Amino acid sequence: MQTEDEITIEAEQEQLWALISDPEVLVNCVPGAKEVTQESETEYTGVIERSLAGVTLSLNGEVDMIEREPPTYVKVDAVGEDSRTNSRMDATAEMTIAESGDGASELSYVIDMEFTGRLATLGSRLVKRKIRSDIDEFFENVRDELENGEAASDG
Amino acid sequence: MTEYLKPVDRESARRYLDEHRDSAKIVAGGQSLSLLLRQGLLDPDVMIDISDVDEFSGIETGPDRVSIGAVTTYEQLESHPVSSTVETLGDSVDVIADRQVRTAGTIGGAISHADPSLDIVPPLLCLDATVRIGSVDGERTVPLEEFHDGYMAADLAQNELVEGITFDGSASDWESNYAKHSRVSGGWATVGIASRVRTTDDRDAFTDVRIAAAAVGDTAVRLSSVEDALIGEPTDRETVADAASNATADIDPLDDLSGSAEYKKHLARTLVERSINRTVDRTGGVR
Ligand SMILES: Cc1cc2nc3c(=O)[nH]c(=O)nc-3n(C[C@H](O)[C@H](O)[C@H](O)COP(=O)(O)OP(=O)(O)OC[C@H]3O[C@@H](n4cnc5c(N)ncnc54)[C@H](O)[C@@H]3O)c2cc1C
Repeated sequence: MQTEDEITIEAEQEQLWALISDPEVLVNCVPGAKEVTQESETEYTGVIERSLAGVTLSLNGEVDMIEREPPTYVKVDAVGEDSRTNSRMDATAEMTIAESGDGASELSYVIDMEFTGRLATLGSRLVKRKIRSDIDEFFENVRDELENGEAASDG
Repeated sequence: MTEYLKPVDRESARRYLDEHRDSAKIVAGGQSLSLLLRQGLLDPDVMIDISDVDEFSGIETGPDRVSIGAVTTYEQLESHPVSSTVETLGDSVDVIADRQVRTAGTIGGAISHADPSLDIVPPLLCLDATVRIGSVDGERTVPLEEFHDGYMAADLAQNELVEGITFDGSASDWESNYAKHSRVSGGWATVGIASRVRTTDDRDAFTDVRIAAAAVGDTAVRLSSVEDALIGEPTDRETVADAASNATADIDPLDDLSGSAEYKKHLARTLVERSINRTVDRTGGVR
């Protein structure tokens, strides 16, 4: 399944880039993320805990930035595994950051995800909506981090 | 091994849940739950079966309140007079899944499960229903519209359970309807629309309009853009069709197996129009 969208964020390209490459910030922004560690310049590992219809998943994951062109483009490969339900998620995400004038940036993304194992039996109707709402939440959190961070330094 | 507890009164249900909290799962009709258990997605230490709790069962109708206990089944609701007086409830129960799901599935189980495609939720939203929630600390109530506070999410703490749902069913001058489209008969809704209206005595104009939709967003929603476009307006079909075109303002469908997002938007407009027209027809008005 594929999700794509564009959002405008009141921050410079460079700031946005710095933020999405900072593991500490990612822990705050990715819904349910815990214990994110940076393994190398381009690799992270971490755990994402989510719950849906009373089913709790603990995805042990690896994220690899397979293509990077700071501060405009990144392509990421991610895998996550939940041992209890024997499920696996594979994802590829591409993000492009463009200046949109007045100190704002436009971030566009395309995320492609696939699920296998028992999680897949929950049905695409349920899982898809959940992922979409998590992706929305992620970008809202990114926006909050940047826009409120800025507001705080102003005052 | 899973421990299976079967309280018979409210107090012990609340107490068991408080003792076991996150290691426990409540079982009502078991329709949604058994799928998850069978697929190995859930493996609770304790199951608390509340289907025999007296206080949670049955439908009470007072002079102005209707109160439905959490473990009331769809079938019990279907055969209760309230399904005829509040037709949108009867209409929706009639089109839920199959006989087995309706015989075992409960209203409280449905609401707790919080699936945005549930058929019973839009009618209850049009009734401004309130959810009664209990725990060892007592009872609190939350409007259903706020209770579903995100995708498949309900405003319930780990030691709380849904004990019932209450609404004002006294106003006999309301008419209502539920219109559903699904890909296969008895299937989940591609879109479901409930409407409930009140008109002037001569039935020429809407005085109150409530519309709610299932399967078009993170939660079921009231369609306030359609409601606002109709209140005070004439009940003729053209006005209804115009107002129905606003339906897409309040919804956010995604492509899924039941239909594409674009198709769902189209269906939402069509079903809003159909549902309101049927409701107006039920007022017996000549248009
Ligand atoms: C094959 C199939 C087809 C279906 N088709 C439709 C359809 O067309 N339209 C439709 O609307 N629905 C449909 N459903 C869903 C159906 O409405 C729900 O499964 C049912 O109403 C849930 O009620 P239950 O009593 O079986 O809940 P259970 O399965 O017992 O419980 C569901 C969840 O809610 C929790 N829970 C239950 N009761 C409470 C409570 N009182 N307080 C707190 N938590 C509680 C449980 O722990 C569990 O997580 C379908 C279900 C199945 C299995």
